[in-house]
Parts: sequence; C-alpha cells; structure tokens
Amino acid sequence: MTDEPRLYNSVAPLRNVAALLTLIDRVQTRAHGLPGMATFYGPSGYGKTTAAVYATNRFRACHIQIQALWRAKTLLQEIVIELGMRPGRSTAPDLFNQAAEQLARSGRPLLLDEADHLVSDKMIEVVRGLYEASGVPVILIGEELLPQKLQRWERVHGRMLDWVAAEPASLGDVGHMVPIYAPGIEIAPDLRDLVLKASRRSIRRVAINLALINEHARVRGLRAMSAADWKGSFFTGEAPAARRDEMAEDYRRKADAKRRVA
Amino acid sequence: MFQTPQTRAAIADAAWAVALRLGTFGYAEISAELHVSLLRASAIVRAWEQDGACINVQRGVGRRNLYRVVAEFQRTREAGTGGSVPLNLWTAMRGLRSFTPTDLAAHSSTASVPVKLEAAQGYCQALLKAGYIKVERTAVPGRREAIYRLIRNTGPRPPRERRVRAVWDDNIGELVLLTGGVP
Repeated sequence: MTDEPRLYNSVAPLRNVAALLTLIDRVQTRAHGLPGMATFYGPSGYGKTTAAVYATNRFRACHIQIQALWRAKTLLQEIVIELGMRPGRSTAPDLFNQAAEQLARSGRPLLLDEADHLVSDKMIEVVRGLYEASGVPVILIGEELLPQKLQRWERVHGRMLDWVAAEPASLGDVGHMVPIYAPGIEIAPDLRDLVLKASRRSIRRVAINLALINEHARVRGLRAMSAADWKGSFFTGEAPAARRDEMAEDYRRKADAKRRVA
Repeated sequence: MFQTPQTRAAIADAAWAVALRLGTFGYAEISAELHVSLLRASAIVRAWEQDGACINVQRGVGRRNLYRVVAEFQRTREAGTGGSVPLNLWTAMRGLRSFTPTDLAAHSSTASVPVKLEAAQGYCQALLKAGYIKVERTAVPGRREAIYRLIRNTGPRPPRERRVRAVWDDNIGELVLLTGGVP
C-alpha cells in the first residue's frame, strides 16, 4: 500500500497482508459501476487468516470465519452479531434486512474467511444479496480452488472485481518478522535462508522458527546468530518419519514368533 | 432533528466512506446517500475542504460545486475506521484463537492505533485472570513468551479491565458495586 506509513513491529509490510490491504482499498474506492466483490485465495499456511485479522483492525471490517456446518441463517446470525447487534429470534429474512442495513450504514467491508464452506446455493445467494443490498466490499477468502468452485455461480463470478492469489513467504517477509519475533538479535542471511527453507513457505512456521532462534540466542547470551551457531532443529510441520529402531524391533518380534511356530 | 455529537460524528464518517467510494462528488451525492439535508452535506464537505481532505475541482455560475478526495489525506480516513487498543487486541484474539502477546501486538498495531507489546501483555494478563483466555504453553521469563488460547469468545465488543469501588458483604459473601443511591 503506497499511502501506508511505515509501521514497525506490525505485520502490515508482509507480502500477503499488503496484498489483502491493497485489494480491500481498491474495492472500497472503486469507480462507480464496477463490481464490489473480490476473492483472496491460496493454500493453507500462507497467512490468509492472519492478513484478514490485520485487515479487520485496519478497516474495522466485519470478519466472519465460516464453519463447515453453517447454513444461510447461521451465517446471517453471525454477521448480525459481529456488527454489534442482537439477532434475537428473528426469521432469516429479518436477519438479512438487519445485516444489510447495518452494513450499508456503517460501510464496513465484509470479509468471509473459509469461504469454501459457502457451497450451497442458498448461502452464496445470501452473500451476493448482502452485497447488492449494501454495496460494501465483500471479500471471499479461501483455499486455492475457491475461484474454480465459484465458477458454478455465474452471478457471483461476474461480480468479482479481482482475484488475488496469496503468495508463499519470501526472504523479505522473514526480514520483516525478525524485529518482531527476535527483537535485538541479528540474524545472518544464511540463517534466514535456512529458516525460510525449513518453514516451507508458511508464515506461521517462520514466526515459530524465529521465536526458536530468539530463545536459543537468549539462553546463550548471543546478540548475533548465523547458520553455524544454530544447532537445533526447526519446526517444519512435517509428519514424523517412522522410527528405525521401533520398526527393527517389530520385525525381530515377528521373525521370532515365526521361528517358534516352525 | 436533534443530533448528539456521536450521531454527528457517525454521519461524518459515513459521508467520508461515500466520498472515498465516489472519488469525485458534490453535495447532492452525500445528501442523497445519507438522507441528510443539502445544508448539512455542504457543511460536512466544506469542513473537509478546510482540513485538506478534499479539493474543489469545479465551481462557478450555473455549475455545481464538485470536490475530489485527496488520496494522500490520512487523518480523517483513519478516524473513520475507529478502533482502540483494547478493540484491536480483542479482534486479533478472536481471529487468531491461539497467540502470544507479540502476535497480538503485531496484528493490532495500525497507523491510527499503535499498539505496544506492553499493552498486549497487560491485556492478556487481565483476560487471563478473568477467565477469558487460558495458558497453552507457559512462559520462561527472559527466554520465551506464553502462548494463550481464547476460551470465552463473547462477541465483538472488547472486555475491558475496570477498577470499581464496591462494598464487600460478609453476610452474603458478595461484592456489591457502588452505583450511587437507592434504586
């Protein structure tokens, strides 16, 4: 975002956060007549929800994390609650009117996280209806295949101003996160490379691994760290490999049993 | 119609949102969208012009006044988004679910509402004692932070620490708040 002042110790400069902020800003200030919905998509772990949380604070947006079992009415109830009202025992059409009116009045963008769960015709039409009635930016956030899934609904597909893909974590992102998660510790470029590789593109894992380095450095009283200083193992999120000893033991036991039978 | 300062501020905020969306606008657009009088709309817009939030791009005999939003203008644009330190921290907690104070501060600090790490730590302490969050991994002082998890998500408005004057009654074992006067 060009008009954003440089913020230290905030996630704002991260690539995906900046991408979402720019997207919301663009939809909000779109020219008259252009559609006002947009999609932000990408694989899990790329920091989409993190970006949505920051954008919620920045734009005072209405952020809803959709759950698997929700139906259209649940969605409306949650939106009404999120906008600071009490849904009471209203019917679904009442809730719709309440949500649309409050959105239009406040002008708060609507961020729908986990939009992959918007699979039923009813739910997706409710979202489109809310956009039509209120005119506020509606951003759908979801997995990599979300744009493909949305193709089923031409009326929704046609109202998208843009589709923005979340990008994997970059070295620049690691650089922005060092002062937040390892303050006062100088991390050499080779160790940053190592962190990025071990984190396998996930922003969440970069944060965890930088915190590990921070802990390691503080225990040893180090002010600077390079790859040579790092002896531990990083959090990679991989499923653990089968243990050789256990497997050998198992094999021996089976072989013994077989011999005994013979 | 009588307007409180709050409604007036809310109208001005909503008007600014309309102005941002339109880019170039006149009094009539603001008036029509917000159902306020032309007089009120013109007062709002002229106040913006004085602040430098918009510039006049058309005026003259027989032509209506048109204004354009100044893109670099920050203050009003930010003011329209509201937000406060507890509100931003609470929003981040509800979004992240599991977090360290550093995570919270990094996700809450915006240009209009800077949030310090100490504020995030203090807020976590208050909510921990009140039973809104629990410790998922304990802190090791000087080495690593605690990880908390939100366990009581009551809604969008932030719970805040209040110091109150109360009377302790041993007979019923309760704190009675001093509300001032007999009901």
